[in-house]
Amino acid sequence: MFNSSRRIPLAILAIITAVVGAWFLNKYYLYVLSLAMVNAIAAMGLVVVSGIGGQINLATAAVMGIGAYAMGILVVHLGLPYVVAVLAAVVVATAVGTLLAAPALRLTPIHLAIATLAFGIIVMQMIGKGDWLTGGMAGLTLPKLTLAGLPLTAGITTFLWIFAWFIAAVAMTMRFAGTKAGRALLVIRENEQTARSIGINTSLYKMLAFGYSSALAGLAGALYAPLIGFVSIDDFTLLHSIYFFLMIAIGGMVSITGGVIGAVLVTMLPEALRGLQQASNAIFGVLLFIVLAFMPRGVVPIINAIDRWLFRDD
Amino acid sequence: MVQYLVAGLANGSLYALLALGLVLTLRSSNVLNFAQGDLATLFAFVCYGAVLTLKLPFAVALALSLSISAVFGVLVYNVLIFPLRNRGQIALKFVALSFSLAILGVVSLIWGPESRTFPSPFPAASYQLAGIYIASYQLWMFVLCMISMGLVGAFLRYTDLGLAMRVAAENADVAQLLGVDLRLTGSLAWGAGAVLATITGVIVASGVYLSPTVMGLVVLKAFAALVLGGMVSTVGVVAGAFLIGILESVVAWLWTPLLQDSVSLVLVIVILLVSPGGLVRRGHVWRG
Repeated sequence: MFNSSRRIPLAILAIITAVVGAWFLNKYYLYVLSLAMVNAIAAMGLVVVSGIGGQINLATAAVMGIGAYAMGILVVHLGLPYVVAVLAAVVVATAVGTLLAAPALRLTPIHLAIATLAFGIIVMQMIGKGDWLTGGMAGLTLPKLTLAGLPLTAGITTFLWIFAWFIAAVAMTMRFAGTKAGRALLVIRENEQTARSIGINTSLYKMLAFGYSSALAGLAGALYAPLIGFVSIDDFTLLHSIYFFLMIAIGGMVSITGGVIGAVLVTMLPEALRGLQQASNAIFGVLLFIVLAFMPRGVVPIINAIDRWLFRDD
Repeated sequence: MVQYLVAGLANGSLYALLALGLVLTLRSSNVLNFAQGDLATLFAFVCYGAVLTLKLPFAVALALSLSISAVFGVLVYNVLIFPLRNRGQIALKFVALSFSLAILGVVSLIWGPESRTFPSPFPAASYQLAGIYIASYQLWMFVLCMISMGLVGAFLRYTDLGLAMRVAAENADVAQLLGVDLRLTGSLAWGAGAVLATITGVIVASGVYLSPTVMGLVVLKAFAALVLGGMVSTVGVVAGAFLIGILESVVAWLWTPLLQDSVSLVLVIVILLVSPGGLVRRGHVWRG
């Protein structure tokens, strides 16, 4: 009943508006929006593994950290060009993150939560102690990065670079949900035994989900680092993984659009509360409880209402 | 060597206290209490405030924070968790992540992020026994933990209510058929969990310092103990906690203190991969 042929032109219009509009924003807003998109990329990965696949993962921030450090180490120690380092970081994060699927193959959600939590903390502790490679607790300071000769500092170049990846990630993830793998994961989430009985290779698809989400988290990490100018373990703690969980909970766990909205909200709130940073955790806690307890579909009903209003057949 | 063992036992008893609260709440309400460490911090701060701001004697302040924490635990269960028990979403098992964020936020808002010296109730002296030094707080830590665990164990084993709690943990449906009030057993578990957290919080704050994030590592070790104990057995979880405490000391002694904190978490992942039921061999495995 919806006129979906109107969606694609509208999406293109939105992209053009964003690109043109970005030139009128000051550096601070560009920075906050870039940050929101970076978080949204990682959140979309979590939507695939936790929302669609039903596998709780409290290591999102750690995998993002692996991506950031892999990129940083390749640039600082090997002098690789930034673009190459980003791609390599995605490969490293995917490889490490797929290993995380090993415990997921046979554990209950609570076991898995503890396993991923432990994994995330071990990785960050090791990075914190590998001073010679990672800069240890002090962090890794990045040199001035450039992209095709343009400086990648907070500004329009970085914004557009991250925006391109963001659009690619949205397009890919939206397709993922509809593929064979996406549908198989939905069955696994609902009932693993049923999934197995109808011939779904549950191990394969769980590994695929972890791999895909780790690729996005690693990408997010590699994109995040130049925004800040250095890589620090303080940016990839358990608390940050909980923020990602909050983002997708706001999005009703399974919705990609919802996850993006969640990422924008969770990124903007601490910025809006400048000077009262501590309050954001209190607000996030209340928000997380409300969405988990009373809004199991998150903001999805609101998105649907807007969607119906925009695309109704007259 | 023995010196390290003493520290290991003392730390192990702390992990055991927190893990005991975790296992009680997990089994009675099917919620993994991620906020256990934050509860410990919160009520250590309440005790701190009662001593320094209200000028109460330490014993009174401690009794006050223990009572408030018990009421708080019961309230959290009744108001926030019990009404959600039939929703049946995976995500609800993790609802306590929200308490953890909220408590952390409130504590940092009220008291700020800096570290403070906690008025230690334990004499600063240390005892010497056959050439081994034992700090008084380590001794007290161990004694207090033993008393608390003995009380919880005796309650579960010898009272009717304790029996009801064990039945409810084993099988909630059967328990209800037998006339067990699940709301009552859940309330008790959350109340007791909060009290155990408070004791841990006060001991840690006395031994180290007090800050909104001081419990971070301790609660991770409690999670590790929970996994080692197979998530079902109180005895197994307590044994797991001591094992972790001792293991950490051994690693610090033989190898390097740098790896002390990672070793328990590595152990968790290995256990989960090899034997998800933990180290306790029981007829059943937790299928939460």
